[in-house]
Amino acid sequence: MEITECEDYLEAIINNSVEEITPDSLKILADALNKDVSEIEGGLNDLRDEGFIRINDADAYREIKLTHSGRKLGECTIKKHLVLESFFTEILGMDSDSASKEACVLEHGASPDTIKRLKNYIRERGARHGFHARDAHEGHEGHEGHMFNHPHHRGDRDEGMGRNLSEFDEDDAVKILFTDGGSRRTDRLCDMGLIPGETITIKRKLSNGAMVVAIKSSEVGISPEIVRLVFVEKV
Amino acid sequence: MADKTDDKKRDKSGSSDKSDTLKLALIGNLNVGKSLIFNSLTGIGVEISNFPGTTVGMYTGSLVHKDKHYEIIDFPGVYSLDGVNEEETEVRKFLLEKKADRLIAVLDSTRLERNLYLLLQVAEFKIPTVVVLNMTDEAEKQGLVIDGDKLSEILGCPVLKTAAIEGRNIDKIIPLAENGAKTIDAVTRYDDHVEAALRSFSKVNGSDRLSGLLALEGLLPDSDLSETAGVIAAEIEDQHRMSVHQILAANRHNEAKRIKCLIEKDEKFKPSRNFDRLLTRTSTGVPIMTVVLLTTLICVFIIGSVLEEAIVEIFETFLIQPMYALSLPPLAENILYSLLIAVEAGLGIAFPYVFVFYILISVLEDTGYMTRAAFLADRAMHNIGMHGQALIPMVLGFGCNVPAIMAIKQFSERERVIASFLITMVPCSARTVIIAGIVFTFVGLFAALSIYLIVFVLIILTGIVLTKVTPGDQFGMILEMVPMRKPRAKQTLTRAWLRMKEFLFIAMPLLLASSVVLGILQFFGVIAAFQNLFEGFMYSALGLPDYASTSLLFGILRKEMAFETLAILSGTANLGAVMSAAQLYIFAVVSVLFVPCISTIAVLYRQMGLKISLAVCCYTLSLGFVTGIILNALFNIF
Repeated sequence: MEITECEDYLEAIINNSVEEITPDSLKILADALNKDVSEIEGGLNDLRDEGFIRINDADAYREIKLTHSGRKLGECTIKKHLVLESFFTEILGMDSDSASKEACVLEHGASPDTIKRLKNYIRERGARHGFHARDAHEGHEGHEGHMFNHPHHRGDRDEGMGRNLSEFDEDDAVKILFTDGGSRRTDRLCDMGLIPGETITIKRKLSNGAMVVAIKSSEVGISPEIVRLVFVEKV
Repeated sequence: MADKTDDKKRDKSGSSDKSDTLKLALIGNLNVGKSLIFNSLTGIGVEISNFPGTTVGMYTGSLVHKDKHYEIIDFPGVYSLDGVNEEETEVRKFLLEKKADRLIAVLDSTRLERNLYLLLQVAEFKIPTVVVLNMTDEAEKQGLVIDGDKLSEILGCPVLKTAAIEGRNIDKIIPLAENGAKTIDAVTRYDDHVEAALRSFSKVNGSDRLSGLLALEGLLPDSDLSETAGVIAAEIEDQHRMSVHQILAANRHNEAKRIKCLIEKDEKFKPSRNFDRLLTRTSTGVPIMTVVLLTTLICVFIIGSVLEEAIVEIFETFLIQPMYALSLPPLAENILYSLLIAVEAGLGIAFPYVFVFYILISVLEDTGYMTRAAFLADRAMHNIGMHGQALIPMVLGFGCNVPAIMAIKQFSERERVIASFLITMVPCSARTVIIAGIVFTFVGLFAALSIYLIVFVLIILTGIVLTKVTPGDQFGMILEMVPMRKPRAKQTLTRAWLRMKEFLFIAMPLLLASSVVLGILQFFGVIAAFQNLFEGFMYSALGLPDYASTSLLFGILRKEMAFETLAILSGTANLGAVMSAAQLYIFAVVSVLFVPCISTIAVLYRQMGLKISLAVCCYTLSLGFVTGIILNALFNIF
């Protein structure tokens, strides 16, 4: 079986969470792949021979398990599909149905590098146009900050990109650039309105570094270890 | 016409009683006056329960309006619905399971933008909603003009302006919820990538917008979406270098700001006043905090002892003596006496000490002072492994450990473990009764204060050790400063009364049951046997008389019962006559330190599981005895 066909199969298996071979699941795969039901079983056997899936024949129903390489290839294909689809819809303005069909064809040919560049392009362009176009009512300069955080790599942050909030003093007004707290640590900060692009004023700073900052007509007390997670620039 | 509606009603009630009861849920940020609205709507018939299988509390109450039954639920205050802490998770689950028919979203008019942020999330759950703009009186004072009609137009649901403190428009909430509530039309548009992902979810899995969003944030672990969503979320996060939560939060804040700009005029944010500045500065704030907290404790002591004396007096004269005059059969008399004494002890502790304490704490909370104290206390609390917010449960613990333990649930796992140990050591009002009733009365004021000193030193030492040995990261504090407000009697009393009820529900039944058990055991001589068993140890190690061990045992049931029991078993209320000053002092120290009362253990078990509650019990037990043994040795030397 051609590798492109393998990719289509794996994509369909993951997208439809197919876990066993039953008349139903064969039908689902046939629909997704636009093939006849009779072809599917043979296709799955080929997939097994290529080492992308394992089929457990011992059971009454036949369980399918993706191998490591199968899952990797399938997910990679799905990623490519999503990037292409979002390029077609967001940048080229195609309707989503034909974008999806087109992406199905092109996903097999596109190299990882092409996809990566395309992804970056969508991001850059989105930063400049996409978001502004839709939220024109705001029109604040801080907008790119809001949405796309700062455009630099995490590793660059020591090279002059923003200073730690702890370096500032009472009555300083600063704009938040980013917060660095891992996935869940700064959720509460976000909920309170301390998001990138927002301007805050330091109302109180204690000698240990704890702060009270004014944000969105309320005041929030933040302990030193949280203050150190916030990176800002002076306004 | 009238017949028709009647028929309809009968049909409905015929099929199921529940369908006739409309479930209304109050949702909103912390400190928006939700509880006051809840109380004005439901009056006094409030039930306190937990979300199934959790320790997150919610209040439910019922009311009848124009022959229709309503059930009203007061959710805990939350800042968002996509958070991972227990309250947020439970409220989200509750809404997802469509357990509420209508939502009453309460917003603070003075902090509209932040409140709209939550409302935008609420909108996504597509439950018919009435928006209540509360605190309009405050907003007017600040010169804020809010266009409620415009907001209603933007959201597509009714908006009601209220001032719960003055009772303004509160009576209109129920009719509006019944007839006018609509799902909110306003939709937050998210970042392109998020929207693209949502579109593809709905196409591939047929999922709705809400589940798509929650799946992207990893909050729907068991759905078919979760796997695909995980891959896409990672992709989005990689592109934005922000978590999905941050992206959504930013979008919602922008939308909230946009709406606020459309409906609110003349926003002049008043910076904190000078008075406020004094409270958060170390040099002035710390002395103020010390004075405030000490004054509170002393007030409780003084008011409490006067009130308690009056209550005890009334019981003795009007209930206990007449009961003896009845000359009932011995067992019945014994049980009745145990019941009366338990009610007496319960009321004697609950109203004079706990309720007075709750009122004072509520005043501190309503003025907004509590959050300032918490901010300042953060540094000190840090040393014992907790952050400033833990000040509130710690101070609450002086009233009763039970609500204090209940209040630690929003902390991180590590902090909860540390707090479990430390709070159970805080001398609650029942222990204050022991210290006041035994040591202050029979030994002296300084002896009584020295017990507090011993306990505080032990709490700090325990905290320092636990900080070193408890696994997990120290999580920082993010705490909203509640605006300084003049406290209002109604609001303060409402808050204190709600807490009081929580206390009565949990503590009183246990107290009554345990007192009866004590009475029966004593009647059948079990207590005498128990006494004989520990007599030797109590005397040689602690220098205490035999009946002291029984009193200590009953101290586990409720702390102040240690004192009551001691008085009963020694046969006199004048303890000074039967025990020496050193004995009384040691008895007080041991019973104050050793094993928390049964209600606290029960709450601890629910909150922290078997391991931690056992550890806390063993630790406090050994701490109590070791301290007692050391003191006894010291007293013998000098």
